[in-house]
Amino acid sequence: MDSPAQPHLHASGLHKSFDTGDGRIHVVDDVTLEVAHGEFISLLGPSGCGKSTLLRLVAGLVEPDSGVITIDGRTPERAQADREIGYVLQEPALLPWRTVAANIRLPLDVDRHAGDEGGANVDDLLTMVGLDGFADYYPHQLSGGMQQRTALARAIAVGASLFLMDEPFGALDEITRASMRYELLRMWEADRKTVVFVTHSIAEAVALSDRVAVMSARPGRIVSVIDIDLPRPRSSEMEREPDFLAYTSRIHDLLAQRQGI
Amino acid sequence: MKNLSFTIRNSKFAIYLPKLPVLLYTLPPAVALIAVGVIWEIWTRASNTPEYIIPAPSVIFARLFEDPGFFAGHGMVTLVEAIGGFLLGTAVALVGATLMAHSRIIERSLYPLAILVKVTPVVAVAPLFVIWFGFGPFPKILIAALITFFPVLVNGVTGFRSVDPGALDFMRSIRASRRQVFLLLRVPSATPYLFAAFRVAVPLSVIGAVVGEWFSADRGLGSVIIVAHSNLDMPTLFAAILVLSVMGIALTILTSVLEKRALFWHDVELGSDKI
Repeated sequence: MDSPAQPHLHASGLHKSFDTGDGRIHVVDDVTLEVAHGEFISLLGPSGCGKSTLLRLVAGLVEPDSGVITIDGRTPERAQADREIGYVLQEPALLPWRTVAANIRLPLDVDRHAGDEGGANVDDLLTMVGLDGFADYYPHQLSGGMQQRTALARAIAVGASLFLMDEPFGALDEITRASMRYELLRMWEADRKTVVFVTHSIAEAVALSDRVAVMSARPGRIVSVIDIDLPRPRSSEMEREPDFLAYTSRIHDLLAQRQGI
Repeated sequence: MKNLSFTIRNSKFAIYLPKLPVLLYTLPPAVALIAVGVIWEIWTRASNTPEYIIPAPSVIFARLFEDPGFFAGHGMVTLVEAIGGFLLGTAVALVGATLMAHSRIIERSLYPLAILVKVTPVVAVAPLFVIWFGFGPFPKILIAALITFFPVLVNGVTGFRSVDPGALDFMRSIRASRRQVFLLLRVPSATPYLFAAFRVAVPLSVIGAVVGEWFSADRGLGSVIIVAHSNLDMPTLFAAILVLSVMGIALTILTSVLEKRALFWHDVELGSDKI
């Protein structure tokens, strides 16, 4: 992928540690990462490797101990205020007292100007995520997959250019998860926003990404960044092809080696 | 039984009806209550217990229906004081809970004061309020407010803090202001906790009003009880107690009806109707 003069996301020398009962844990250790505009990158690693913390650092939800993060040359806080961050969590984290439509409208309620810039209205967003006719349903009336679609639509409603997704399909069953993968790609193909996608599924990372950053645990480091040179648009059939399997087994070996298995 | 759902101004509401016929819930307690009344009636008659010690239910009801306006009038006074006190106590508690939820320093400063209010027996301060605020309804409202205050405060603080961390993260990621987080996330999240407090506070507010009336009143069921007591007029005293019980039950039912409507989205209120 040809990179423009300025990367969309630039992180360098990031460190983050947390105090626990047994002392300090170095969760993010000297992470440096550049993500180009329109790139789909996955952070892949075992549980506790600091990939979620890295994402929260980028989202401006936690402060790094040291290191610099810029999003289009801005601090994460500035990017939050400029509505440049579309955040999707593992749990849908919807407001249960709001209907699907009202949940999607939340970013617009927080900042009324966002509606004009984002351009997307709630009906279009419902269609985009395949929830036509569910506008007036409450989250508790929906399946887990539909709740996560709502959360996705809510993040799109922000009108952001950078999407940060923290294992968004992690709480879904395997079948729903596999289909959500390609639905996400279908939506992404439409306007190619930048996505940083956290996952611990190798197949998911390979299927979605332009690049996969493989992380190791304790301390959380990026041990390797692998270019996924598979043609787009991609489909689930691709997951059975030799090229795809070559990538997954290569990453599998890399992770196994790090874990000393 | 099917659940009822309806739409008001683009908002969908659903009433979740109990799965079993209502009679199954209401009949057993009604039968038990009537049984107690019948045994009481038979026992007082058989043992020739004097009316000034324990009157028979029939005597109590006779007194009640002999002068319903008397009991309704005094009951209304007590009811207004109780509701007024409940609203005042809730309002002050919500302001306090809002401040305490926003700042740990304010919480640490105010919490001991709130506990002081809680542990001080209301009966002990009631005479003081009469001296300070006279014989009108105000000191009674104040006592009812005092007794309402603590449960609402504590549950309010807990409720405002019990937000879904993911939803909070999302709101922070779009730089929602503290005020927006409070109004859009914390207040609705707190409603289940607040209703739990209301269920405790509503009957307490009636107690507060009655205790207030004991010390200084010529109106209200509390004063009726004091006067009847000094006259050994047990039928009137028991009739007043009966009216207070009915009032307590009615207020409790009203609270839970409001709770069911407000918390239609809450886990506890939901049946399993996932698609």
